[in-house]
Amino acid sequence: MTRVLLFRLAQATLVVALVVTACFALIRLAPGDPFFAALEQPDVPVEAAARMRAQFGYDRPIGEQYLRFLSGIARGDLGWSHSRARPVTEVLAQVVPNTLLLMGTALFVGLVLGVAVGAWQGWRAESRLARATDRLGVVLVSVPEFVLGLVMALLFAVVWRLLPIGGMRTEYGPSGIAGLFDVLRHLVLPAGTLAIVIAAIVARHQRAAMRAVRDAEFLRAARAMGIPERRIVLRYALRNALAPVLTVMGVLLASLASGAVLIERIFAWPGMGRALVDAVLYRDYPLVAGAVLVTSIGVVGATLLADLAVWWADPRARGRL
Amino acid sequence: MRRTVPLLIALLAACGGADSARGPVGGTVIIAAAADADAMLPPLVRTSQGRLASELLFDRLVEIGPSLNTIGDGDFQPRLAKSWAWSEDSLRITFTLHPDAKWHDGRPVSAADVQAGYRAIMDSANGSNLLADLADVTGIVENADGTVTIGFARRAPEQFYAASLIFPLPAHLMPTDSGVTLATSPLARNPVGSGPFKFVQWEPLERFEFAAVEDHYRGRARLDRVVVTITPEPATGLARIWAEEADVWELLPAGDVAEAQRHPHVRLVNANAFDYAFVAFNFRDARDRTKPHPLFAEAALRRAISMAVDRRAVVQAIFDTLARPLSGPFVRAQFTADTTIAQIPLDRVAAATLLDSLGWRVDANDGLRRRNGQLLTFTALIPGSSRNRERASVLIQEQLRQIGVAMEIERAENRTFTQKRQDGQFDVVFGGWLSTPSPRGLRSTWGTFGDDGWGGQNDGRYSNRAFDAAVQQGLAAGDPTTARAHFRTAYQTIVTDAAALFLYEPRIVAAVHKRFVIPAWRSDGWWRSLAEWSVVPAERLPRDARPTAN
Repeated sequence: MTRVLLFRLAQATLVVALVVTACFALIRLAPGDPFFAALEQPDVPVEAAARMRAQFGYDRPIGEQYLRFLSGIARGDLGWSHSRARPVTEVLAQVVPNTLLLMGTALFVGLVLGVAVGAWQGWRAESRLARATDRLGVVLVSVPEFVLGLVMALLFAVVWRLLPIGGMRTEYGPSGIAGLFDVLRHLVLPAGTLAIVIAAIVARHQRAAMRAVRDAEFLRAARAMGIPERRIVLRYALRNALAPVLTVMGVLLASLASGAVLIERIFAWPGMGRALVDAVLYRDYPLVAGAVLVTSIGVVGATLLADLAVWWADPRARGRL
Repeated sequence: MRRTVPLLIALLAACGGADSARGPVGGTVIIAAAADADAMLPPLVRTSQGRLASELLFDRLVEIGPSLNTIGDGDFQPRLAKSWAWSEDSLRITFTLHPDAKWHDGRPVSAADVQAGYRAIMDSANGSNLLADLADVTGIVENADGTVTIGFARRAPEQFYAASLIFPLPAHLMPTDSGVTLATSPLARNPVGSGPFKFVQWEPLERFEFAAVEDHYRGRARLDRVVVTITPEPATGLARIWAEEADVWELLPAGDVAEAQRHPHVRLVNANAFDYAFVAFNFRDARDRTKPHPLFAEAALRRAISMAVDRRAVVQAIFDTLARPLSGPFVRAQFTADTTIAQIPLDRVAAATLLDSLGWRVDANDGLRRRNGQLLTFTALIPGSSRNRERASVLIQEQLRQIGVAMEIERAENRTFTQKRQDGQFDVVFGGWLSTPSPRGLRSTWGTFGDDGWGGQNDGRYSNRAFDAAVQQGLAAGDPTTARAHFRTAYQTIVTDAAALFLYEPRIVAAVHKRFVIPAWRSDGWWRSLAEWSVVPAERLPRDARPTAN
């Protein structure tokens, strides 16, 4: 186990290093730099722009900039965010918890809902309702997240006025416990949108897995032993059918991270996805690199955890890891 | 040119008569904006949101009046300067500062602050876009009696307008360390101003918040607070307006006007805008800018293309009535605007005939024109952020196809677009300019490329000395009537030259919550009247409650 874990950790580190390096290079290849909009104007003296670039080392060769970036990481210094005018670490400390709250909620709700619905659909595959909900799932998986988000916003915030649409808190809203509820109300639409998509994906996998185990010999044996149906489903069938779902968790997390970027933008959620998009648009090199570093560590780490979960849930998979 | 204290205004303000006519105090306005302020200190500001923030926080010495006439001082209103006087030779203007004007930290506004504001613009490290506007200012003198004198190298009709562009800055808070620029100084993130609202908080790319200054020398703002919340997705921004989460959306797309009318709490406000869109031809070869463009250096070809484009139909299809076709490189809000400029007529038959005469013949196989085997085709550079210009490009592409011209559309992400535009890497560019009340921007945007501030933004490198001369004469004219005559000549010259297809000037349609009483909506900056906005007490929302502490 330890050897496997170390091997996977080494793999994960390599992936993170490759992603960050590629991103570091790509953002610099794109036209413009953090000072382009402000300084590349005909009425701004060339020396002003040059001085500003030199101050942050952007006039140095890309290799030197990269080494400086790596040494910064080693010291825990990710540089200065130009778009947010503060250290990158400070920006990340502010936005990462918001994204974790959003993604964590969406993942939890989406998984619980997806597993429950998928298991039920698989167990009752012949019922009309199961077939109808399955078709609905296909539609939800096909609809782009931003479209779903906008429809949700329109219905729940504009038409029915049930939920707030943007931001994380009501302007001049309540504080204390009431303030916490205010945050949760703001969380419902963005997290709900992501959760619906996750649930639809998970349900499809869960349904297939449940159908596969439904007629398995060990379940027939359990029935023959007189074990109640409810226990058979929850204790034996579901546990066996969970492994394929856990296997897709890694992919699911990556897609959740990219979905969160869109959803944070749509719902003006002050998270890392939004910060990353802004950073790319503003060519805020340090923030792009810092955000990509944190995101890739998060996704790769979560994938690793998902693999370990599969290892725990399915002894057959242990040989493959 | 002499001017004394505008006594009537001063007396009205002193006796409080104006104040009694103003609305009740209290209320919060939440402005949903698609982008954040780029800066809050006036010399550093370039964007609309930056202007909003800086002009609420800082007052100028004087401010241009609603007529937007930039010539002379007749249409200017006192701000931090309560009065001014010209020297005999008109090369110096001495301003007397308002005795009650204070910075938000309580320090009185002084002549040194005017000097600090001027120096911040002139310091090249700050990259201020006002630098060129103050080229004729020789310096600022702080007088012993507390007045301040601005000196000019030469007499010019827009001298006073140039002076009005200076925002005094708090000299006692300006950065003094050699390694710190204005942009990286603490003042840039926690601005201390002299305007009707004071700084409370700025979460970059999220929100910023200002509060009314209780003892402001011009009287307290009616509103308690101004909050700008950044909503990068326009659809969400509008949904926040419909859901009463926000109060103002500045630029309502034409397609959303009908939706706005379905919400009883929303009021639509109309105003002229200062931006305009055009399709500029590149006069220089994109591969080698020293050579003429293989197609568009030819005036007859530009003219034929101009004749083939139905600008009115394009504008109507995109905006319905919320934009107007341009008559030249100006907007109606400018005092030099002249909508009687003779246009190149829409005539596709004549356009086709002209192209035939130039040797561009229609190939029966594909309906496109060729000359000596070369296809008549070119690429149009479009900014990815502008849905309107993108739609215009598609409509124009189809109109040109009807006369056998193939226009390819290249949609570029904003930075890429700007880079390519500035490098001249295009055949035609769907561009847009934000003009100012002064027409002096024409020198840079359409004037012949040169060293003295001319043509710096003229990416297509259009050049006509007759145009340059008319613009120069217009800028030198001492009265609005003469200036208008010269600018008319300039406008007619550039339109006849077919330097560009002047497409449209959109009208500003803003969505505003109905509970606000709005005295005026200025086309040069709607926020300039924000201190006068008030909320009808019976219609207040919970967020309009007076803050417990400022």
